[in-house]
Amino acid sequence: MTRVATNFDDISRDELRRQVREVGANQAANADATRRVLRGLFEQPLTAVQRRGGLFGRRDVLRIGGATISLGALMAACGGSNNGNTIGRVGDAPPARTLPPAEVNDIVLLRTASSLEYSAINAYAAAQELGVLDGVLDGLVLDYVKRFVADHTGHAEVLAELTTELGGTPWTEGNCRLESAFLQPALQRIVEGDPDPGEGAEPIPPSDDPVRDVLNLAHALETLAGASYQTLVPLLGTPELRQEAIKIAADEVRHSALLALTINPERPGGWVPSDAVASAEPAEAEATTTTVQDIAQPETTTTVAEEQRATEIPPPTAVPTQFGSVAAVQLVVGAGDQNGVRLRVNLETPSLNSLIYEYLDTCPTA
Amino acid sequence: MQQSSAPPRRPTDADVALLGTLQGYELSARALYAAARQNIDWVAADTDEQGWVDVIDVFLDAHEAYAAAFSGQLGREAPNARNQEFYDARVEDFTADAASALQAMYDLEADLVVTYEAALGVMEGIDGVTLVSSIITAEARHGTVLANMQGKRSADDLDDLLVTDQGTALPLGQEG
Repeated sequence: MTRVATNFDDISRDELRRQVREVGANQAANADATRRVLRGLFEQPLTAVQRRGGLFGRRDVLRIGGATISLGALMAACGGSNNGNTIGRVGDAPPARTLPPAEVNDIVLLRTASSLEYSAINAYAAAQELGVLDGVLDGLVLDYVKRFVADHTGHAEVLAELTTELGGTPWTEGNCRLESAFLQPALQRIVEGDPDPGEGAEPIPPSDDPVRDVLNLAHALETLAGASYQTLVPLLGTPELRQEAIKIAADEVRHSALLALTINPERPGGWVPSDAVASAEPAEAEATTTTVQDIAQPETTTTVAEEQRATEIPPPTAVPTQFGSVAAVQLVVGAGDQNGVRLRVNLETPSLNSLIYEYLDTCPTA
Repeated sequence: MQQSSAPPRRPTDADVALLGTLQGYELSARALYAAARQNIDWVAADTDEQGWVDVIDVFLDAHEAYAAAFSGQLGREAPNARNQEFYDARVEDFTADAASALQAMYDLEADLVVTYEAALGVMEGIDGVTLVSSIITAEARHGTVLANMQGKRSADDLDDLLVTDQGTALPLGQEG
C-alpha cells in the first residue's frame, strides 16, 4: 500500500489526487465483489453446500478485506488531526485515560474489608425487605440475622477507626465489584428469575424456594467474608492489624457455621463433611445403585429424570475443611432454566479489581 | 503508618519459639480428644444417633494435622511434644462423661482461638501468620459445632454458638 505522508507540508496536490484515484479504483473493484456476494446471499436460490462454501471465494475475501482497509485509510485521512499538523491515520486513538495511582497498602485493605461488611449488611437488608425469612424456624432465623447485622456493623466501626488512625478515609459502602457482579444478579435471579434469558430460551421463573436461596446466599457471603479476612491477614503490614483482622475473621466463620447448621439439618453431615468422616474412620462402603430407570413404569422414570436434571445445590457444612479455606465460594441459586440449570456464581476473595483503592470516593457507575 | 520494608517470610527466632509452643497445645489437644474417645462410650451417649463420634474423630484428626503443619514450618526445631502440664489440667474433664467432655472440648477450642489471635499480634514471619490464620478460621468453627452438639440452638444461645467473649489466652512463652 502507498505510504501515507504524515505532514501537510510534505503533501503535494498531485500526490494527494493520485492517492485518492488509487483508493477510488480499488473501491470500485471491491464494490463489485461485495455486490456479487450480496446477490448470492439474497437473490440466488443456493443449495446448502453452496451457501456454506460458494459465496465467498478467496479473492472476494481479500477484496472485501482490502475495501475495509482502504475505507479505513480514507476515514483516517479525512479525520481530524489531534496532534498539531499531523494527519490522522489508522490506529490513531485518543490517549488512554490513566487511572490515579493505586497503591495497595493497609488503608486499601482495611477499606476493602469495610466494603465486605457493608455488602453483608446490604444483603441482609435486602433479605429482610423481601420478607422471605419472616417466621422461618419460628423467627429464629430473623434473630440470627439481627445478630449478624449487629456484628457486621461493629466490625465496620472497628475498621473505620483503624482506617482513620492510618490517615485514610473510611469506606461506608458495599464492595462495588462483589455487589454488581455477583450479589445483584443472584438476588435478581431469586426474586425475578430471568424474563428474557436470550434468543430462543424460555423465561426463567423466580426462585422455586426463596428461603433456601436467601439462606444459601447469606451463608456464601459469610464464608466469603471469613476467607477474605484470612486472605488479608498476611497482607497487612503490622501484627496489630493482623490481630484485629483475624478476630473479625473468627466471627465471620462462626456466622457461616451457624448458617450451615441451620440450612443443613443432616447430622453429622451438617457438622462435618462426609468425606472427612470417611477418612477419619473408614466405614464399610455401601453399594449404591446408579440405574434408576424402570422400564416397566416409564412415567415414574420420567419424573425421576426430571428431578435429577435440576442443578444440584450443595448442602453446606459447618466445618467444611480441616484448615480454613480461601478458595472461591460457590453459590447456586434460583429456579432452573428450561434445562434445569440454576444460576451458579463463584464468589472470590478480594483481588486487584475488587479492592477499594484510596482514590475511590464511591462506587463507579457502570 | 505503612511499613517501610516487607515483613520476613520465614519464622523469626521469636516466631520459632512461639510456633513451638502452639504445636505443644495442638498435640495436647489431640491427646485430649483421643482420651475422650477412648474413655467415653460416645455411641451410647449419642442418644439421637447424630454421629457425635464422627465429629470427635474429625476434630482429633484436625488437631493432629495442625501439629504436623507446625512441624512443617519449624523443621528440626519443632519440639514435637505435647504440653504435659496443659494436658494434665484438662484430661479429667475430657474423660468424665460425654456432657463434661463436650463442654471441655468447647472451652479448649475457644481458648486455642483466643491464644492464636494473641500470637498473631506478635508474630512476624508471614509463613507462620498464614498458617495460624488458617487454623484459627477452622477452630472457630469447631466451637460453633460443639455448642450445637450440646443442644444449643435458640436465640438465647447465640453468644455460646458464636463463642462471643469466651476463651482465655494461654501462655505464649515456652514456659506455657
